[in-house]
Amino acid sequence: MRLGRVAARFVPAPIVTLIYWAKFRCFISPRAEVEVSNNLRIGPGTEIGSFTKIKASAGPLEIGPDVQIGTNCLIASGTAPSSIGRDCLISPHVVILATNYRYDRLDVPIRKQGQTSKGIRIGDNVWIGAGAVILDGAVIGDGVMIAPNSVVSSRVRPNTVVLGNPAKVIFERR
Amino acid sequence: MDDRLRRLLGDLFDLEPEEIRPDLMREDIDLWDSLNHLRLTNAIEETFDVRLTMAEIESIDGVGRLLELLATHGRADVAAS
Repeated sequence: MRLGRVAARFVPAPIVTLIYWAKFRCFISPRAEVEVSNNLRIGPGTEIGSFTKIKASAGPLEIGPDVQIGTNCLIASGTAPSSIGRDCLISPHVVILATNYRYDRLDVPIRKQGQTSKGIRIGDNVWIGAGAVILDGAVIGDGVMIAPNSVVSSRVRPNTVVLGNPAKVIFERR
Repeated sequence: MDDRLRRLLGDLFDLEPEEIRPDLMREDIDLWDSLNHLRLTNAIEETFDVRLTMAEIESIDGVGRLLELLATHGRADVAAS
């Protein structure tokens, strides 16, 4: 692991807040844990709440402008690019995880079988309810609303409301 | 009232068929929350082949209003049967 990446993990949180304010004009709570990484781009006006963790060391992660990310979220990119569009609302305790483990072998511990990543794409104006989980490979269209505690791992049509595990469309917005 | 509507409401809100009356209101049903309201709308549209506007969806406060809207959309048979 390069020294720069190691050092980046030890930047005090209030300094991270200042760095990202200066770089992107976004507000990151001093109590959040956001990696200092060239893989991470955040649009202006975005706010990231306390105790939220954003990890982008593995690959590109782009968060659009005017996104509100609540408290205690986890957003982790994988090697494939992931993105969150503009004007999104991400409620507390949401998990957005753009990696998966391989598990095709029974004789090797899962944690040693390597990871895969397809990336996650979240469109504009998406509202993700509290506790929802967005898994690797999910593609969420513009204007989608995801009910609390739902699990999304595939494509969601624009302007729909989805609920459940796996999340299914319960309503089409109009 | 159409049996399909009774079944739909019964399954969604865990009600017995005899409990489903035109005067039943949303606030009388514990399971009629905002998410189930959307599920209800989707189910009504699919079952009776109607398309409601957002204003109409927001105005549904009970079974009576639901029957009125279905009649407006050419499905007066749902209340009559």
